[in-house]
Amino acid sequence: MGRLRYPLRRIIEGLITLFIVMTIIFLLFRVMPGDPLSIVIDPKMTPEVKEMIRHSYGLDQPMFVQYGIYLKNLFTLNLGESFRYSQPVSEVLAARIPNTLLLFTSASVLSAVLGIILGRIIAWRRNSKLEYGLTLAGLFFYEMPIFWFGLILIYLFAFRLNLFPISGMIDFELWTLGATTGEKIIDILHHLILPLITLTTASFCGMMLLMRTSMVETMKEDYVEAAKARGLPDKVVRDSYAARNAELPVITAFILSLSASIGGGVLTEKIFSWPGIGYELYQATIGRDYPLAQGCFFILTLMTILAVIVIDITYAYLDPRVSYD
Amino acid sequence: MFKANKLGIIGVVILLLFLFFALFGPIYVEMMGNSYSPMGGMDTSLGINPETNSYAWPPSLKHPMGTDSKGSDIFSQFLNGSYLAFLIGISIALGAAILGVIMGLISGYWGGRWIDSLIMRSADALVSIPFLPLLIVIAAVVGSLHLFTFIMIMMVFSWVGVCRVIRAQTLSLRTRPYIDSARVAGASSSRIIFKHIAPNVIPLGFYELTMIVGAAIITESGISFLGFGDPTQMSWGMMINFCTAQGHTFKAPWWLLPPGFGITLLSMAFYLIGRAFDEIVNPRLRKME
Repeated sequence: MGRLRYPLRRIIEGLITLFIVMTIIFLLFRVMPGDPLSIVIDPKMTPEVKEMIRHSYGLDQPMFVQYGIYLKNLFTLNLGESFRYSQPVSEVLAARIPNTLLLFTSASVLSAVLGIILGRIIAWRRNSKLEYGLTLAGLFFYEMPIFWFGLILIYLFAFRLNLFPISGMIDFELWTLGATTGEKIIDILHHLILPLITLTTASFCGMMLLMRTSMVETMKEDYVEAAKARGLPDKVVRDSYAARNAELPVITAFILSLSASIGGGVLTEKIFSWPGIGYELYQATIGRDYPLAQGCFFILTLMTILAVIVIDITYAYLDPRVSYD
Repeated sequence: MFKANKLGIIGVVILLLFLFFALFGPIYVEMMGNSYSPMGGMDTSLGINPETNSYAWPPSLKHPMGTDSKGSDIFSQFLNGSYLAFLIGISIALGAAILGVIMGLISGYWGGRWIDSLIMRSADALVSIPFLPLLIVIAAVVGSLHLFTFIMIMMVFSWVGVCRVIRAQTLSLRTRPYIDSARVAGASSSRIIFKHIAPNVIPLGFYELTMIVGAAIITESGISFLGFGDPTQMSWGMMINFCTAQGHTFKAPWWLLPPGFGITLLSMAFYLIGRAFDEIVNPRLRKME
């Protein structure tokens, strides 16, 4: 029981969070100015046709009925019909989710690995020139607005040097001309590099700085001193003794920064026109496509909540000193 | 102590520089005349620049950072952006600090009770809400995010870090003998919290606080960049938004670069100061020199 209680509790809490957030969103969307139908209804249409479309979107029902339908639909992943695409939102999203996951997971993994490795190196050489240099450079990238850095990368590597495509995820011409699977994969990777660098640069520095702080603290623990006293090589003490425990607080901090990185992901997708959930959210908001904007936000929240739960549970499993009741 | 905090001193220097920029903004407009106003000021005397096909000219003696596509002085916008960054960053951080300290003290003092659970679960819930997408959705509802609305929403999302630090410290302090003796002497809970615990834990939240300033400035710039910011305020993010919206991203680096450096350097300065301060007050970081 004890082992299962914590994960179970976290999942229930996650559901409650989701419920509260989505209720706020429902209320928000209903107070939105302007007629959401204006985008799918031609002003020249007859009132009967307008009424029919309004009815088909459920917008002629009382508010609480709409709310009931809304909740039921959310939990059955029936997210309505996109105004702009005239296609179910779930279909639009299903096509976008893999793109976002591809960009976001590869950036997260890359920045975690880079951040942890560099962080333990600079902590080990505390007060060295290397530490100051990397800390300042890391801080610069960490505090830099991600979209601005992305624009600079686009300017330098896509516009000036012409090494990478300026935006998008695939080269339509290439795909319609019947490219092989291998060529398609290379094409996607080619498009992925700049957004990936943008997102990774912004997040690995945060990890590096956290790892450093965390390392500096564990390095003073008695067991690290003891390992040194036993004459173990520096590298072993650093990587197998100090770094092991130092990684734990970094995980906690990663959770805290997760929603910020999702935000960074949205901005990155926007400037690179990367066809993911974030880009779609931006487009839907600009185009007043209620169901789609709502759906995008729902998926982004769901992904964040899921990620936080998974990391939390892993953390509880990894660190037996932490007790949760 | 100073030697160990070289980075902290760099932070203070950058901060003072930007503080000067923020205060100098109105004086600069006063000196140069209304055509230098950050919002709506225009100087079209140079005519159209054939390179950019607009009134955007590179830096010159007359306009130290050049002009934008409407002929507006970029240096003036930059100064105004500096002022806005301080306003946004400091007010959000202060609001978040007050919330975070109170929540952290309550949560830690009554650690394990229902109130602690309630606060910590709310904190858990808050960190799993992606706030930039939420801000985008809210901005869509209200057209654009008024500065005040933005500050209020960000306060609600920013207190969690401070709260956790304060709570952890409070949890360890409340079992100390001096707290017990205060209790035995008949001190009320609120007196113990505010007189005996708060002064010892608040300094530890300062580091989190400086992180919030940076995060707030960066988030505002993101929202403004997307075009959902307060249209009446020429913030750094708004400058970048205008630059890209006018198609000048690749044509006018003098327009694109200054606001980005402003955001980065000022956020960095706050972080460096917070870190230096933390190394002084946080006993866990102090020993090894």
